[in-house]
Amino acid sequence: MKNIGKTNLVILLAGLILLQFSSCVKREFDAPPIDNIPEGSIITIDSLRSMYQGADIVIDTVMSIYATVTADESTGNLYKTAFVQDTTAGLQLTYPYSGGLYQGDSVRISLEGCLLTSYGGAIQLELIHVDSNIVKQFPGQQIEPKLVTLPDLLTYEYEGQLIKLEDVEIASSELGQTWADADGKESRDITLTDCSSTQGVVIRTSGYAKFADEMLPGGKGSLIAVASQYNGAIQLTLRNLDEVMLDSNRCDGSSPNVVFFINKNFEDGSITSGGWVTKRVVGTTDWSITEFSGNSMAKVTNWNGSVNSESDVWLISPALDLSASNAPVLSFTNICNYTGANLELYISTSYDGTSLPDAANWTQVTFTLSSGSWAEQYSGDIDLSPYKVSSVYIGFRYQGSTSDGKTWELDDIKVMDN
Amino acid sequence: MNDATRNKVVESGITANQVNYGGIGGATNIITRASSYRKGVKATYSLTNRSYRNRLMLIASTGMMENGVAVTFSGSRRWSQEGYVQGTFYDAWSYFFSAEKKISEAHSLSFTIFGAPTVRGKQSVATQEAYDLTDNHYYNSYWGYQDGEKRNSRVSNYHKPMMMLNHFWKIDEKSKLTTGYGYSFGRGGSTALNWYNAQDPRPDYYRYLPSYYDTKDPDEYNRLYNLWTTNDDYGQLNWDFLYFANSDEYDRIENADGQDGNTVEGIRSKYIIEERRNDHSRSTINSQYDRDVNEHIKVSAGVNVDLYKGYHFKEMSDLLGGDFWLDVDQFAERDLPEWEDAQSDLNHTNNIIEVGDRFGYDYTANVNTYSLYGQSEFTYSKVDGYLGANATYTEFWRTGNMKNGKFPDESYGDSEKQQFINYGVKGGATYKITGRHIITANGTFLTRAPNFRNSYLSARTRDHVVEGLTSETIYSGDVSYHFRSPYIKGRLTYYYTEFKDGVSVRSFYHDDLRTFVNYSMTGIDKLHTGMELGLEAKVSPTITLTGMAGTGEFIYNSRPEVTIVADNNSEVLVDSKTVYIKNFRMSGPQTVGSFGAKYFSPKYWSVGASINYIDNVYININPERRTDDALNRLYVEDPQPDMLFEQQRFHDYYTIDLFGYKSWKIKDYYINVSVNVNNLLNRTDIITGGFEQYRYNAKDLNKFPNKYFYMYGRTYFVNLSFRF
Repeated sequence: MKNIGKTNLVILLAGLILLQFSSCVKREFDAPPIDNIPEGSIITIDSLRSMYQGADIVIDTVMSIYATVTADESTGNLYKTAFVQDTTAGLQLTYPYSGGLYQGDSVRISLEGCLLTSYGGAIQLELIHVDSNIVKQFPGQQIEPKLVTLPDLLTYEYEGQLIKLEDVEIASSELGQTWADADGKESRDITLTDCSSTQGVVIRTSGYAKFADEMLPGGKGSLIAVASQYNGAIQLTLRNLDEVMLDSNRCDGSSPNVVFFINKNFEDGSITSGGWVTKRVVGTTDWSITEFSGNSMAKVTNWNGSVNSESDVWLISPALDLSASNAPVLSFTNICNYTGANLELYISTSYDGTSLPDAANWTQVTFTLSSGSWAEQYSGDIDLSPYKVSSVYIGFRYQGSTSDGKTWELDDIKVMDN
Repeated sequence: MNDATRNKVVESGITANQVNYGGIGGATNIITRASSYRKGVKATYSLTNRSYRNRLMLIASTGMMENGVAVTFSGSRRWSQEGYVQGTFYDAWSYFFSAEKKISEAHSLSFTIFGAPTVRGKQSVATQEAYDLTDNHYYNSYWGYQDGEKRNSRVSNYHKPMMMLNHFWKIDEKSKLTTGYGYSFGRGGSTALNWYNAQDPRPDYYRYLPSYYDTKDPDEYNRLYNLWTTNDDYGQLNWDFLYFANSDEYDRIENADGQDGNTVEGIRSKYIIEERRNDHSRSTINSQYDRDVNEHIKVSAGVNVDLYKGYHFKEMSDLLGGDFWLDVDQFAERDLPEWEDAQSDLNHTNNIIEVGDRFGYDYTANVNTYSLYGQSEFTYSKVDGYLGANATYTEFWRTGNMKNGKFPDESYGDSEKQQFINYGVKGGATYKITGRHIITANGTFLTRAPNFRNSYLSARTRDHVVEGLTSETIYSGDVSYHFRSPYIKGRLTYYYTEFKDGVSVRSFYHDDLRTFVNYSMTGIDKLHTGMELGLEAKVSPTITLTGMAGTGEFIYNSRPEVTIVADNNSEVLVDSKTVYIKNFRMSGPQTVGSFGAKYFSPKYWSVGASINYIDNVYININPERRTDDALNRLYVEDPQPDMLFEQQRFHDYYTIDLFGYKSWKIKDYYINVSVNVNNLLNRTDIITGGFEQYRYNAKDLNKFPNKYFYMYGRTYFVNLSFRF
């Protein structure tokens, strides 16, 4: 009896131990029921884009695209917007609040509930609920930009995609300004050209971009951007300036290192933008904007349609700091017609910027005058080396009398330094 | 107080209790009868580097004197300027007094009072990122320098004295009646920063850590990274900033203190230190009758009454340079339309709070239990056993002392009573196969009323209880085999306990629902089962080896249901959804082992060492991460679900402890010195536990990462005691 008891005991304990250790292995962690992605619900960006036929679509079926983020908001050039791309195409995403998507993120975009729409002709996907629409797969995936030419871009084929252009330069008329208006937080469109095409494309940069207040580079070279369009015009968006390598000699062979102190082309429709002033010493005649074949210029005349009037009016530049320059050069184009006194060019280092010009000393400088009859004339390179001081003003003086007076037009006033 | 409370009857597991009915997991009855203390005086000084540095204890006992009186007195102080963790100070006193008077052979009376006023600075728990940035696994975000001194924002301050009057009546040789009346009361509290209309002052708030900017702003990431890693003060509280921020907030409060036209002007504090109090008062009456029916059978029966009141409120502790604080809820002010909504107390609107004033919330938790129990024990030569049963009536209710603006009709005065009737039965037997081989078995079944804290969705603001509040049911049993010989002793135990229908309530900021919520879970079943083996071998008269091994499963055993309610307006945001946590592990080690050796010299000294092994420690889980909602549009193919569901298991680890002891007898004096060294190898990389934050983002788990506790490195404890 005693022995049977002991044997039973050993069997019982061994059984318990076995039960215990076997049960350790069995117990799997619980999990909510989780589905596979339904078959056929993964589509390409290309097929998503082709679903858009001119009217907005709210996607109401379970569909997903797999893509990689090519541009995000981190440099401030995009706002509540990102671009994604797969092997077939690219796409612009917009979403209701900022953040969350970063360049290089590989994502699955759950399309259900998203709005497929277009803005300015560019197809975009509005993520209504970012948190549930975006499922990150892994970070650090970089997409190689596609090497294209300007004519390629103009086919609209690359809309939404990351592209790289080579041998391009910023149109010379744009140089001397920044990528955007960082102070006024205004976007700016900058024309990009190559050495042969007649039609350029626009680089649009937000005033909130971190690099908005950087000067435009003057050379030729390559850049990487995301392509888009706005009402038919191809528009490029930069990711950051590290990808802009415009530092070789320009198409015309000129040096890329030109510094612009002034680049006044009046295309903004303003006489006084950038700190320019007009000063009327005699009469009421003043400088105004005129436009000819899409080109804006400054114009002055003492003919009011019936009579000439006694006039002495100046167009004066903002103060230029030429103290650190090498060989500053002034140039502009001028046009005239009718009879009267010639336009005069003066330089002053003593003017105060606000008074009437006769309060200061001005030195008259000659330039190549238009021969009349609306002939467009390049002024020639006017050497400003004698004026390498911290406050230099350039004044254009127009004079007319009651008996005669010419009409003068001025454009593309530049002060450059190599 | 350790010396005074060392006379314990520790009942582990389910047993026949000597003093009361007992519960699951055993009971500790501290015997405080003065006559049970050894006559004499003992003084002990201890030096350590753990949570405190110094300890001084004195205990004096008369023993039972000829006049029938026994008196025991003890006092101690534990203190340190700074404990093992930076910014933690410690100052704890204790006192104990017990007197017993033997009135006659049949009657004796005893009176005991003890308490332990304790003030100490607390330690925070942080994410791995904060530990890495500060290169300190004991990084404590709670403190900062003020006037060159370390000031801790979280100070706990407890003093809850307990008094007992006991009457022992030996009715005859076979029966006795023991009656006790106990009363305890006192304050408990813990301070914390609070702020109004100001940025979060906690230095390790997630937006102040570099990781918040990881991909989105590398410049800011680097700036913060450099600040954290090069400036030791950056990760600490900036008291100067808090005082400065308060200094310029001149404000004017119209209709202040509930009086129309009463205008109060002054510096309105943005940052304050408040003390969250949990005072209480409690009376207990216990009476137990014991009778020996015959030489084999003893029976006992008793009655127990426990009347508890917990006083929960906030008190202004420090305005940090300001003149006052306005008692309004800034989240309600932001989210709800009416000015009344934000008032903490509509009976005192626009309450101007100064130091010492109550504010925020103020309610009383009333919990009364009445129980009856009986048990019988029998003893025979081969078999001992016992049987017991009890029945308990529990009632609890909330008494609101403030009329909360968000819940004017559900916050003030007495709430409805919650009532529960519970019962339990237990039994056990010991079978003595021989004197050396013994088998014991115990079993119990009982039901248990939910506790107050887990019954109210948000007791601070209102009297809403968890829907479907029920008693918890517990089944438990254990079987052990004991072996005893002159050289070897051993025990093998198998235990099994099942908890059914548990309830829990948490409140936290829900990132998906974008609001502060009350999160109640019902139907929580848990299972604790496992085996334990203990061995002790006396290999020579001076050397003893000990070994212990345990493996268990402490797991959730059901899929509970969750209801989520907005804290602001009690709107039901999620009504009863399933939480898939069956078989998830509870925190705490599930595999333990230890091996030790001790040498006892006949010349009153000994040394020993032990090696301890711990494995299968799991993180405390956030149930919300295991729901359908967490899966919102995630599929098997995505990387997130695995990360969401996985329960982190920590590295296994071992530690080595040392122990040494020596005692001398000089005339009538005894001198003892003992030394303990824990974690001899000074390992500071051992995670002993942690938890998943309830605030989480399913798509980006790193936004609110887990928080961890690390084991202290090498610590020592040196004791020097004199007895005479």
